[in-house]
Amino acid sequence: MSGDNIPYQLRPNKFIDRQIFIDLLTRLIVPRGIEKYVYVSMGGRHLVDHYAIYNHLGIRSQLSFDLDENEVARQKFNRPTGAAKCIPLSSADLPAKIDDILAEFPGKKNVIVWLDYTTADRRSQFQEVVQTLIRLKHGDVFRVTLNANPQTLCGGNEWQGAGSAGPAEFRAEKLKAQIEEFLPTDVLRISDDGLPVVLARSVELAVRNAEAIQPNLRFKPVLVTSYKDGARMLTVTCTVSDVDEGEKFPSKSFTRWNFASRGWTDIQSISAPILSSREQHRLDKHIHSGPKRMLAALGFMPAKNENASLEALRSYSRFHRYYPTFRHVDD
Amino acid sequence: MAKKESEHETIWGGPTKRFFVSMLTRDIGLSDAILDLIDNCVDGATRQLKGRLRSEERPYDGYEARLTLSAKSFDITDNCGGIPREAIADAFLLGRPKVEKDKDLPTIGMYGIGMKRAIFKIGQEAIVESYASDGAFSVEYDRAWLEPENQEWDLSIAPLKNKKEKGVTICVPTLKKEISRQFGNAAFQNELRNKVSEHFGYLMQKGFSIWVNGEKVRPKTLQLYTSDSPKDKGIRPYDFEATNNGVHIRVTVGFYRTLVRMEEVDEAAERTQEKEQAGISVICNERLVLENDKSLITGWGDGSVPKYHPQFRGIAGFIIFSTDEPEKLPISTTKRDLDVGADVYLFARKYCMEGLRECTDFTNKWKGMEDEATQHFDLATKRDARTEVNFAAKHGVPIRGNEKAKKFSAKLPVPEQRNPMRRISFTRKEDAVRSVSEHLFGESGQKPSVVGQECFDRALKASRK
Repeated sequence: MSGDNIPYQLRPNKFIDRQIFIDLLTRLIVPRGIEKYVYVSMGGRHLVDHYAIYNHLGIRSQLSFDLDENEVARQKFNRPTGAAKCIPLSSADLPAKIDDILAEFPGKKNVIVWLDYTTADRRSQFQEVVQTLIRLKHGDVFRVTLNANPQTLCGGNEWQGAGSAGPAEFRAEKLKAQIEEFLPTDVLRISDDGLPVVLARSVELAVRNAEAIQPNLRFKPVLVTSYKDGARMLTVTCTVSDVDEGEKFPSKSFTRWNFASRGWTDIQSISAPILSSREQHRLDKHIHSGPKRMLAALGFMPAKNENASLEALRSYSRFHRYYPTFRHVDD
Repeated sequence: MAKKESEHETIWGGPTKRFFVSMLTRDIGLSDAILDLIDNCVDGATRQLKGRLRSEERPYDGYEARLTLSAKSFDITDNCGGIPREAIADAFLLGRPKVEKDKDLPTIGMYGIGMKRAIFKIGQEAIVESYASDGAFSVEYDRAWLEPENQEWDLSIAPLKNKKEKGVTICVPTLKKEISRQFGNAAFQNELRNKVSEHFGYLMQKGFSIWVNGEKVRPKTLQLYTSDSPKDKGIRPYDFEATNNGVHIRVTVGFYRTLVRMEEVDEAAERTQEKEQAGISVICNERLVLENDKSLITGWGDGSVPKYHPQFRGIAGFIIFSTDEPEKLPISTTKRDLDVGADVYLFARKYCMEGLRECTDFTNKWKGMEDEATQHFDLATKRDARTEVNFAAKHGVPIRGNEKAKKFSAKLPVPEQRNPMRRISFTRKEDAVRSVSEHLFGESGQKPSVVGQECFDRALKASRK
């Protein structure tokens, strides 16, 4: 299960992830001028990302795409403004279409591209990442979400039949068979919770591949997050700069941002619990007291055991200002 | 320049520096140039091991090459014996002066160009240091010598204090600009490790160690499904071995994965989910020369062997040539290309085609019944084809006219013929498939294959009433 069909009320971590992304864009592109940008992403049937980008940043030039014509029709129905375009397109065809897409929005110079994958078709996804990266230009922002659920590499006792030393080794072998050229050669085992870091390193190798093809381009990780609502996901966002450009992108002051990534594997783990409004209010009262006091204030465990609850509250404390407040409209 | 000499004129017909330092380097890729340097280390170890190679399982244990590369510099160090005094002059010539060198040794270097070409490709300057049992020295390629316009050919050589560990170090302190960019790129370094693990996988199995930037490279070798008993019907490789004109040949072709389902073939037409390992590799004196070939070169699409198609994605194998007379190997000057016209290669290819024929035939016979075929695969285990499969040697039948050749046919299982499976395949418009899906299952989103199958099953049931 990738999480794409879970109602948003039950996906606070994906919501937080998206809100941090909006915060990131505010810092990255607002100083450069939002009028230069086109936002391109798959979008999903309700175009939730497109709404968030429009509502918070005011970017009207948007494009969503999907392979299924019915989904595209639904996207068209839901688009935030008349300026948004929804087209039938496969992610494999996106790289070759980036220039055509920009031409559809006269006067725009840059793109924010989000490849929001949910499945574990990693080989084609990494190839698409490289093909997209090499077509980007100075000032662009690239974001990719990958399925980091370890079950996609080893379900149950599969490793025993394959003669592997254990599930961790089997996962590494299977991932190598999928994406050998993007997998660091020193990855010989992948622990139960190790897949996000391994995939982040693989994204770095994909980026280096792109830099080898386009020697003038530099890709800098600016935000790396991992969250789990249904399946664990990894999202890597990087900026694109050209060594021949005078402008420093991202700007020097960007590193002062709380969540600014210090490297490809500097992962912000988002694991906030699902909370009612009342629970949220109680926690907000004690938000600066540390996870132990927050847990005491609740009087129950919001996750499966004490350790998991403390971790969840630590995460809530770190990201609480992005936490969603979904309520019934009649409340 | 024309020159009068007694009665007739002559012109200079020798080489130019430019040809070697900037033209010849274009014939080889950067990774391949580095593999050439490792080849030299291995050849050094092979010379040290003279006489022990055939008798030991891991003769190269303890021998190693260590590579360090970055955006700034490159060096490679081995402990493979160094360059003995009598070989120094020839080692730095551009081209090998005589073929007798390494007589009776399974080396691969025979043109005397690999090390020099790699240095010319990589660096703006380089130092070669050798520590052999009969002396140590260093030779320097300075910037002036490496200038294409410079016609000075002499290299400066200086004695060194000898070390306990004997071997060669090549140090390139200043890289060419385009090389620096690649060496500094983590993706290039990762890819190099992958190439080394494939190229020298069989050698590493025999004990040789290779380190790249402090990481020991793990061998990558072919694993094939092999059932235990060679007599019963089961999944196992075709295996052949022979000696032809002083070259030992081994051909093994089998399955590295279960049969590919038709849905996977369709998917593969759009996007591949795994790195393709199918095809035939060619190995010469333990080095990979051709990787996973699926073309006429190894016999696909020739004679009775069908052309490669994604349905054959489970088939893999190798042709291995081993000889103490490297000039008999079917390889080109770059050592990474096959000489496909060589007699010894054509001889081996014939048997490779036999193996391919058996495996493609098996795939075709089980088409549409891949799940049933998987039951046979479940009874087999994946084994290292080079070291753990030796059917030809143990159970092979002799080949007429060649006393030193033995062949083992895979005798793969065949499906029940009395009522064979037949595949039905057709296409319909999406709205029609959705309508039928709604009609049959109460929802429109069932897979087209499921809808088609249900139609058939219901019609069959009705026909038998």
